[in-house]
Amino acid sequence: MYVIDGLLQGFVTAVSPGVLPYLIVGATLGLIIGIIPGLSGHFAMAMMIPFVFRMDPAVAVTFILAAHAAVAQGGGVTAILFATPGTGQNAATLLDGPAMTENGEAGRAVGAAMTACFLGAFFGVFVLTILLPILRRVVLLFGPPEFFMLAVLALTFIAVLGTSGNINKGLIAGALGLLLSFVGMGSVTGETRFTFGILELWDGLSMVPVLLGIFAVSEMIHLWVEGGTLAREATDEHPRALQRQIFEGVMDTLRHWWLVIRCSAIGTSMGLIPGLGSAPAAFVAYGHAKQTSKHPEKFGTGTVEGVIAPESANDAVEGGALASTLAFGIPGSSSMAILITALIILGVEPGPKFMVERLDLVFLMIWTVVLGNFVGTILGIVVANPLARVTFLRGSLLVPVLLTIILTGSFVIHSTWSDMVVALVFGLLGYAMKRLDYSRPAFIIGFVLGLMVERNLYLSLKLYGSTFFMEPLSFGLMLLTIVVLLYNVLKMLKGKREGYSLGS
Amino acid sequence: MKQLLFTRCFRRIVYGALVFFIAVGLTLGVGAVEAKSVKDAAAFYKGKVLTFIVPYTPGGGYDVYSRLIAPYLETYTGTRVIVRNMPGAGGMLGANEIYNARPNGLTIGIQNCVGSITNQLTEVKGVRYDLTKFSWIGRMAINLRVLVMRKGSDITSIQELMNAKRTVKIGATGLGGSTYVDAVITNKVLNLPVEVIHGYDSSTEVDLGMLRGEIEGQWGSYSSRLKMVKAGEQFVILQSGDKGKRDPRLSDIPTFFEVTPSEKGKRILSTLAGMHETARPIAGPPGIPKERLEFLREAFYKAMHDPSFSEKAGKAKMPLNYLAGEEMLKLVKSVLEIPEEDIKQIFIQAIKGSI
Repeated sequence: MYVIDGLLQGFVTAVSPGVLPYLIVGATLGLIIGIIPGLSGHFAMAMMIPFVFRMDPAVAVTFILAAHAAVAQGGGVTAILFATPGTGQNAATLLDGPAMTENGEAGRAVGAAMTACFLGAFFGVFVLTILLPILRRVVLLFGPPEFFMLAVLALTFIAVLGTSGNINKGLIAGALGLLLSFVGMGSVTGETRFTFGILELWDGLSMVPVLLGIFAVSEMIHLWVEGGTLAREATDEHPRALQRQIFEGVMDTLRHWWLVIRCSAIGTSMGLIPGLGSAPAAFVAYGHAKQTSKHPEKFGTGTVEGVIAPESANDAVEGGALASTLAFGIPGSSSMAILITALIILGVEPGPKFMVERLDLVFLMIWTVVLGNFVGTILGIVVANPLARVTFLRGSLLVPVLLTIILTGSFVIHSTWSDMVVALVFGLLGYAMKRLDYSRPAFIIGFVLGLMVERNLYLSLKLYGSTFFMEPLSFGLMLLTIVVLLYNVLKMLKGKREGYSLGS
Repeated sequence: MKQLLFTRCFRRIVYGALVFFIAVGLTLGVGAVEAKSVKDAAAFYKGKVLTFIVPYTPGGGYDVYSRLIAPYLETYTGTRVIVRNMPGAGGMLGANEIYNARPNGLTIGIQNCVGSITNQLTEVKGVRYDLTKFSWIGRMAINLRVLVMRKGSDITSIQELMNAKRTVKIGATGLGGSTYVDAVITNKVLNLPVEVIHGYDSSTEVDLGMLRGEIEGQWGSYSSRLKMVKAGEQFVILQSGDKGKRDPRLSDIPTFFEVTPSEKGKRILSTLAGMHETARPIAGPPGIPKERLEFLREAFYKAMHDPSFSEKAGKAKMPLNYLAGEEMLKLVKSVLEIPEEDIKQIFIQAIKGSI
């Protein structure tokens, strides 16, 4: 049982005095970066590379990965309190988190989100650990046909994510997202699409500025127009009350353990798709929670499940993203690419032999994700308290500051000015969508999956011909897609008969 | 109409800014003593900020190369080097930016020269540079290109591939990218029974495809393939070589010239090899004062030959192949000025994906 042995050894290394301080410092840095809108785990890791040149590989891995692990917590706090995604992966938390703050339940939302983050991450690496002996085979099960089917399955959630009963508006928003995802140089045809001669559009619209625009800038416009404060309900401002709420939120998550497990499973499996990132997984998990909920109409108005679902999924993604990184040294996400760069600089060759030769590091990484998330969760709960007081400030004071931070955040990712323009333009679009009740999550799902669908469909057709969906796994995924769609259609028809429509 | 108005406004702002900068530049220029020798150039650079443009996002190969050499450029120029990432249009935005910067010698940058060459050859809209006019400072590295096959493939040498009776699938990233162009050009010259499957997002995704077995091989730079080769998952069957010779690390693998019987084929391949020899150069905008350019070239030479720099680069597995600025210019010219029109057309077609 080398797994148990390795786990024990990994734990001992992780809490040893030479490593633990780095883990805590790393997680703290990660949390801070997560709190700042636009700065992501990817950025946190890139920033830390210069510091690790002289470190021992074990220490360096802990330092970098802990920062990456805690980013989601920081982002979650920002999403809930300031209606701004701290990082791209927290965008789905915006659907119910800020609404809870508005209802005076900020503490509860933060407590629930932080706990969900930790449990999600734990689930992800737990699955990863179980799969370690057969990890290579699991990763290789997924090729273009499977990615295509997974993406299509995720697209069907557009139907559920409509904010109103009007499914047409959801579809329109999803189609708009798909359309905009095609901006830029098509890898299949080599042609530039919808770029209007603007060079800045050649590489496509990048996700973070679009997310920040659609969700954060639009909220700022909304807050500015409406006036008032982020927390609309007058609540007990006493710190004790907030602590009580946080505790309540923690209990909420534990009570919804089954939902946490299902959403984490969604996150982990979507983490296997290279380069997809965690935002879509969070939205799909949210859609799933809404779909299976007994009271879907409450989603979007500040229900705690709407926070638990995305937050558990977005951290569970790490388990999946780590899989191909560990099994083959092939990065599953941009953050993992940076981790691999760091390892190479330190003289550790991440690759197929890594799992055999540096198993100690593998288990250390697993523990770092768990412990880093744990530290992040605790710190997230701690900082929520003072940060929550800010939400009682008048909007006219808050908007200029937040908007500056948001725009800086959208600039920093690629250090391009055009990304700020993108954030502003999509801010206007997001505001219009909010006012006219078009589903922004449906838009985002379409936007992040469009290229994925196109590329993998093309590759599948080229590689396997027109019957590519008959491969066993992709066939299974296709059946699942059909079932989900049928289920939704039936539910909708039934709902119509009973006089209310889905999700209204 | 709105668009027009916007462009006009934008243009006015840009022109305004230009006039302002030129005015400031003139004032400063008249005030400053013209640098006449390298010594004066050293005095000019001392304490100034040297902007170093990287046309890609942080974390990529070009970025790592730049950040590795930046401190050494600081040492040998006496400046403070600021690395600026300017990604966009597959590196073209950054190349444009370098070319159109003020030629005072305080803005230089690295570029993906293979990409720059293909863009200029196919006269892509948006190119605002002429590679033959850059102030070349020198080259950091070449791309040694290799064709790798997956472990377990029954094709174990280039001869076997040339004589294969079935179609062999080779993966590539975007249309017109180097993994694609290398594959179609060698296909054409060597008449290989290879089908190129492009559209993968990155070469690491092609790696996964090779591991799954849906793809049998791919073209790539040797440094990026090294990991998989060392792990025994992939093996090299063909290389582009360095100046037509086998690379010492791959002394038992033939170069593509060795397996090409026709003279014409060799000429096509030497253009391809020349492209990859340009690879990762550093340049400034045209018109940098001569003594400053000389000073930069010297500083770059010293930085590239600093033992602690090469040690760091070696540790990070980033090969270095220094080439002087003057030589770099010759190399670029020799690649761009393809004498035979039909060879030029082959490249243009390969880049545009119409072969």
